[in-house]
Amino acid sequence: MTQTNCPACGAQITFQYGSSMVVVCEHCHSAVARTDRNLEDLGKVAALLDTGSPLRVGLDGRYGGVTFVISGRVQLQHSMGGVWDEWYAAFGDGRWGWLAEAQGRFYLTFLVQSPPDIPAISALQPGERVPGSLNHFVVDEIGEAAARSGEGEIPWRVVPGDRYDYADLSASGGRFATIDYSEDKPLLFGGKIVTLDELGISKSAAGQTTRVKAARLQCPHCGGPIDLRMPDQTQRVTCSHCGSFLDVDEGNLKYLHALDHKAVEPLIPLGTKGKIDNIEWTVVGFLQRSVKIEGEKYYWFEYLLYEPRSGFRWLVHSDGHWSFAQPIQAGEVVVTAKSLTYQGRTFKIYQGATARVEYVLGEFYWKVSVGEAAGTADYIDPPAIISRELATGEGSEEVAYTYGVYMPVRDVQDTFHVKGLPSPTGVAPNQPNPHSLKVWRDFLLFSLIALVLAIIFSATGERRVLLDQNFALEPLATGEQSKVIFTDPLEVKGHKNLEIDAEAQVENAWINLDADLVDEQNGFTEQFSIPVEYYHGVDDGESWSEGSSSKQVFVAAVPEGRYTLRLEFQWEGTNPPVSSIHVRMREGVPRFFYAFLVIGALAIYPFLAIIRRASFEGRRWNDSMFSPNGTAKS
Amino acid sequence: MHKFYAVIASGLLLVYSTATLRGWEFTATKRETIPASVRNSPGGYRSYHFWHSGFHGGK
Repeated sequence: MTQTNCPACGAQITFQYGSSMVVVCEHCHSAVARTDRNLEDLGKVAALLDTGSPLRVGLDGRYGGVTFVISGRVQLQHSMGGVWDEWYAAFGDGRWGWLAEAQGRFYLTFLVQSPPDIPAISALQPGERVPGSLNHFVVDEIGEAAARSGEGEIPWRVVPGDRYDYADLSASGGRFATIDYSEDKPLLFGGKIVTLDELGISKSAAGQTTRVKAARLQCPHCGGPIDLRMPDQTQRVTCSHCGSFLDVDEGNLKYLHALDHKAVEPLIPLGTKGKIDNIEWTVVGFLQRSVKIEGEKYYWFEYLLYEPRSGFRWLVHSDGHWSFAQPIQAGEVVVTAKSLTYQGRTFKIYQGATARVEYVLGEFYWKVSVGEAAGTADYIDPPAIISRELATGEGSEEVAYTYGVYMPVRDVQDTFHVKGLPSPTGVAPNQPNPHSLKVWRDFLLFSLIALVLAIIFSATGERRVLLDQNFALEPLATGEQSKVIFTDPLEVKGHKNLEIDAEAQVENAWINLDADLVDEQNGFTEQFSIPVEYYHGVDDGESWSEGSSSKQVFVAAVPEGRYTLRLEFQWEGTNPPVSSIHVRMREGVPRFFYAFLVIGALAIYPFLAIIRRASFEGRRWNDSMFSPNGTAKS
Repeated sequence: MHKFYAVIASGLLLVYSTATLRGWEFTATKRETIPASVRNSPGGYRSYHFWHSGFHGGK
């Protein structure tokens, strides 16, 4: 610990950590740097903005088994106007951790050795991989930051007002890196996205956030009151009284212009609260956006949701369809020409166009403006959709990905306690297909049951032989049409089907049996016929055959009784085509045929599901610029 | 599991089981009661198929 006096005001200042470079004087807010020989006054920092951060100087925690203390922070201003905190964690092992906080997320990085091929900022493109050995990283943003304020002890030479370029990078697994171009040789900071829990900082220790507090300001145009729901975050706001579009700069409002139309009213009013996954979100902003495709504009609406600890989310509404979307890291996404992969899932390209902001209402955390354009591309894996937006602003270029999940309109109504939302029309890009193919699983189950039943029936089938006999066939006498034979009496038990087999070695001939099973007691008669025919030959060098020398028929169960089978044989001409015919009759013969018939019937509904599912998908892709295989439609 | 499908499928399996156990068949046969006097009179009885369709097979 080194105690000395501020070169600007003479007040006592303390360097508690041996490797810190700057201390911000608590009295005069001068940034005081220590050099090899003396102290240097780097200039006064601006007053700290209340960002409502749960962190504070002096807070301790533990990360990777090493304890740390937050020694100080710098507030950096984005070239687009936003301010974020960068906290400095002095670790017990002598390292410094850079803990950046933005939109509810914490990025912990450490200074790491820069590779020799660390690229120049001009070689980076947002959304593209970093060239060289850092190729596993994707460029999230290229921007310019200015140090505007600070407190405590800081491990780098922060000069108030100095600007420097940086590039934020991300990779899979929540890995994150920043290339700092403030020095001749760029510095590389590597780390990951962390939670307060991972930092060993409990919510109670972190202090209560002030972000939920609203601030009341006065519209500079009409004088009406404007309540900011996220005063520490808001960069742009609209006046609900006069429709003025206002810029927010350190708590001061500046009139930009009047919004030119009020025709669009949000279906969910600003300020509405709704709980999703146990987090209560507040609707703070509303955007109407559009894309122009083949000369025609297509509109949709985006509701900005805010929760102080969790940051921002989006509720996207188009044609009555809703999706709940959250930002994801560019590094988690791998983009190819036709698709995108995220967390092992493949998303198909669906649409690509330039989106334009048509109308704004409420508060926004960036300096949104009507007419603001961004190159967008949507990739789908219903019910999920990933939107990629490439935006260029003053001194910054940024790629942003959002991961959305389809939200049924009824859920939206229930969540945000609104009624009468319009019913969806058409098919949304990420609308789940209601015609599930899971019914095929049910089909397999019931088919298996049918087969098992068939096997059981087959194994337990009685197959009682009632008749098994050869019948000699004599030529027909003059004037005779057929030969009739009666069998001996047959004892039929009843309640079982009957199978009758007839076999005759006919060759290019036929023989027909008209059969009558007659109950001798009561005259009940079951009549059926058994045609046996077999033809074969060679036509144009190809052999063919038709029919069979045996024929089998099944007859439904007849009542129990003593029966006689009357067989009447017919054939062509006088002489029979064969000298004898074999007839067998059995009772209780289970048939696999009916099991397959049942399986066939069971398959009808699943096949219908395939057709309806395909039809639904066809309607989904009708509105796409691409076909499902990713090729552009002509 | 789709309830509608499960109900239909269960019904089909029930019909199949009942048909097998009760000896139901869906083949085209004809049932009638023919008095013994008709059956026993010489030339007085011809099969159903004799009068109605008969078989006239062949190519």
